[in-house]
This record gives sequence, structure tokens and C-alpha cells, in this order.
Amino acid sequence: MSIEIPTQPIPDHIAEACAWLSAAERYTDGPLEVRLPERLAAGDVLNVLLDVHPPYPPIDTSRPAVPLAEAAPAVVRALEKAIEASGPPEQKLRAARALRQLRQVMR
Amino acid sequence: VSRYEADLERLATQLARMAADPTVASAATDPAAVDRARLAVRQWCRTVLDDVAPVQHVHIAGRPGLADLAHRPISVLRALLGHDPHPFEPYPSLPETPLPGEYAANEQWQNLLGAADVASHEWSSSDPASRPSGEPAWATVADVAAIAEAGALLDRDLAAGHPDKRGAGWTRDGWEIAVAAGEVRQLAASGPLLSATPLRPAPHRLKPVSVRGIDTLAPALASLAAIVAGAKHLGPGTMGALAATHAQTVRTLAGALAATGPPAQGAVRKQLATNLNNHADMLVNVQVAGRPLQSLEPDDPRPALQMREIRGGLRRIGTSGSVQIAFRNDQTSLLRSVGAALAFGPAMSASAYAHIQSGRWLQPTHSDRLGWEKVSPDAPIAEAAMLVRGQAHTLARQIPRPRPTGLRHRAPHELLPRHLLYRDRQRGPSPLLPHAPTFGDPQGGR
Repeated sequence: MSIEIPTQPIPDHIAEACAWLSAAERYTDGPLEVRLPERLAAGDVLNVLLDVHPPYPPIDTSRPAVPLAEAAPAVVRALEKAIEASGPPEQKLRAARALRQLRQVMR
Repeated sequence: VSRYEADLERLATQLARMAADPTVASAATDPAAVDRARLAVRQWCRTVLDDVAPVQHVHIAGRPGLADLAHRPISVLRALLGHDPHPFEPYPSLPETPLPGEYAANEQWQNLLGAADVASHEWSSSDPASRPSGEPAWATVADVAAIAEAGALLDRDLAAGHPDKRGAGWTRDGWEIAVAAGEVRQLAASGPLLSATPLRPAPHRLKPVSVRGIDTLAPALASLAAIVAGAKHLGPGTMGALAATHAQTVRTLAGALAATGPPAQGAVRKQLATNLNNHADMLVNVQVAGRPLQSLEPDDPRPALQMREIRGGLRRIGTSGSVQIAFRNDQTSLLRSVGAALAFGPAMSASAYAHIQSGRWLQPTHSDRLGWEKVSPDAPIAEAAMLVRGQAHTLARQIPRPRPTGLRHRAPHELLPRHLLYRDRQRGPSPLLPHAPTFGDPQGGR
């Protein structure tokens, strides 16, 4: 039997950022000393974006896994658009916190 | 969209632009623009909070502490916002050529001032009857908290970019506001509270083991494992976040293990450090596997509180370099901490198994319309958690023994020679007592 859980629609730009971050979080190739901090960072940023109630539906996890360094430019673009696009204040500021965290890691 | 909502969105957009990049706000050199904008944002926050959540306010005497924050988050945030921000101290002497990003930063603060002033004006001139009350007011409280938190981030950026780090104490309340606002945002955005008060553990049992120094890390990590194993309920997302956050601690310990210790143990320690980093990598897999899952029950808050204490304690000690220096002088604590950190995996795995068995974790159904069903026992998260557990058991056996250094209290098993300790434990029945019959005892088997 299927159970219903209330969810809220995920805005396009946030969904795009989440899909790229998920790809980076799932990346398990490459040297451990590089990939581990990048996977942790991608997961942290993803956690910021997904910290909503009601929750978003499951994010897109079909994108092939890539290192965070490759995914980051697309995430930055998507989050910058999320800040500028029309939306609730909490959503914009959540996107800003995620973007700030990503920039601090990539610096 | 009302005019006020549009103005609030403009304020949030401007704050988001500045908060998204720590280098933007910090390049400002115009104290008047900076201070007026900071004050305008803070005034907007307290005005709106006073109007939509007046009954939530309880006067807090003196400086609010963490206990106040846990019990009365909105009152604490309001008390902290009650003070005007300390004035921004400009650069002692400005160079003749403009600083990089100076004009852009001053302009951003000017824009923030304009947006905050307009939003305040629109709110104040709106009909009080039109303002949200009751359940809808929580959304406004969440907005206030998010804006207060972003404003505190800008204060932090100003302090980080200031040439005189010692003089940056004027942004201290920004740190406090960021913490309180984060708590209120979580509370306000968590939706309607349950009508019946949920059963909560007694307050004293919520108290995590604090990490005051490197020697208290091992007990805190042991407490984390015990709390996770005994947690009444943890959602799959929370479990995953705990696993990934714990991975950061494991990584810190691996770094300290490789960088310290007697040279004779160098190769062993480096190998163990690599294995610990692998363990951290596998902990991240738990978070990945938990991403699509959901749960309907509220989380037991204790694991997150204990985790926060551990991460906060390590942050207070300093960078990974400072942690390594601290551990260099206290190898016993390091090895104990590694052992205690490895207890998390089995605890988390057991808890995940129990949650899956009880049907409290849900996975999306494979149909056109989004629905949820119980997580199957062979789901990826179960496999990821089991792998972590197996690896933790293997690694726990590889931890080198601490070498006794200096004068300190020693347990009896450290003082007694091994053969004596062994013989003592193997001794037979006391000669003063009658012999108990044992198989193969020619005198006692009558």
C-alpha cells in the first residue's frame, strides 16, 4: 500500500543545483584525499538546499557522477539564478547560504 | 503579490546577493552606509517579530545562554536583536588608491539600506489587521530569522575582512544572532506543531557530553554512539547527515594519527589513517543512500545535539593543524578517540536496521504518482550501513596501543605483568572453600 507524504515542488534552479551536487556527492573515483573532502562538501551544500519543510520530492540522481570541481560552475550558475528569480525570501537566502558555502570550499 | 511582499523580496534578494559571497560585503570602506544598512535590517527584524509573535516574547534577564535558546528561541533572538549593532570601525587609515571591490561593496550596502528602509516603511504603514497571525505567522517568523541570519553573516564578513582582527569584537553579537536565528528558522519552518505534546526525554538526558578539550573528545564520541544506538527515532536524512558529519571527525582523527606519534609506529599509523579515510568515505555512502528516503516521525534530538557539541568542540580547538598539535601531546586521548569514533558505525548500522525492520523508513514507489512504501531490508542504505559496521570492527583491531608517558594514574591491568594478570584470572577455587565437583577432577567427582 502506498503512503502519502506532503511535499512541496522544487524550484527549477534549486533542482538543477541539487542534481549537480548529487552527482558530485556520488563520485567515488579518483584519489581518496581529493574526492573525500569534495564529496563531504557537496553533501553539506546539498543539505543546506534540502533543509525545507514540507520536503522536496526526491532529487534527480540520474546525472553521471562527476568531481565537485566539475560540477561547481553549474551549481554556482543555478544558485545565482535562484537568488535573482522570483521566490520567497527564505528560499533566496537558503540559496545564498548554499552558494556561500560552496564558494568557501572551492576557494 | 502585495506591495509589501514585493519589497520584502527585494530586501531578501539584496541580502542574498551579498551573503552568497563572503568577499562582497567585507570590502566596504564607508562606515556610514554600512552602519545605517545594518541598523535598518535589524530594526526591520525586531519590528516585524514584535508585530507577528508578541506572545512568544519572554523577558530574558542578562545574557541569554544555550539553555535559554533551547527553551525559548524566539525570545532569545528578540533579546539579541534588541541591541543596535556595534558601529563598524573603519580602516585606521585608508590607502590613497581604492581597495579592490571597495566601490562595489559600498554600493551593495547602499542598496541594502534602501531595500530595508522601503520594506520597513511598507510594513509599518500596512493595516495591522492584514498582518499574519496564528499559524500563518510562522512563515513570517521564518523570514525574519532568515534575514537576521543573513545579516549576521554580513557582520562576520566585515570582521573577517577587517585588517585589525583584534578590533573586530564589535561583531560578536553577530555570531550569537546567527546561531539563534538559525534555531528560530528551523523551528518556524518545521510546520504546524503536533496537537498532542510528544513524549520527550527528561531535560537532563538531553544534555550532551561537552568537548572542552582534546581529552574530552573520546567520552563525547562514545556518548554519540550510545545515543545513536538508543535513539527512539531518526529519519534516514538525519541518519545520513550524522554519518557524513561523523566522517569529518574521522577525517580529522586520521590526519592527527598520520601526523603524530612515535616514529616507530609511522608506517602503521599512516596505513590506519588511510583506512580511516576510507571509512569516512563509506560513511558518506550512507548519506547518499538515504537521500531518496523519508520518514514521518519526529527525530530524537539528542544525536544531533551531541554531534554539534563534538564539531563545535573541535572548531574551538582550532584548525586541523591545531588539533594535531593538541593530540601530539596527548596520544592516549587520540587513540581513545579513534576507538570511540569507530563505535559510531556499528551503532548507526544497528539503528538503521531497527528502523528498516520496524517499517518507519519510507522509499518512493516506482509509479507515475509519487507515493511511499516501506524501505526493503536489502535497500542500498542497509547495505551501506552494514559495510560501515564491518569496516569499523576491522579497524578497531588495528589501533596501536598508547605508549605510557610520564607520571599518571594507571589501571591495574597496566601495572601487573601480563603473566601474573593471566594467572590471576585462571586461578582455581580458593583452598579455603570445599572443592566444587568438576569433570576430570579425580578428587572432586565423588
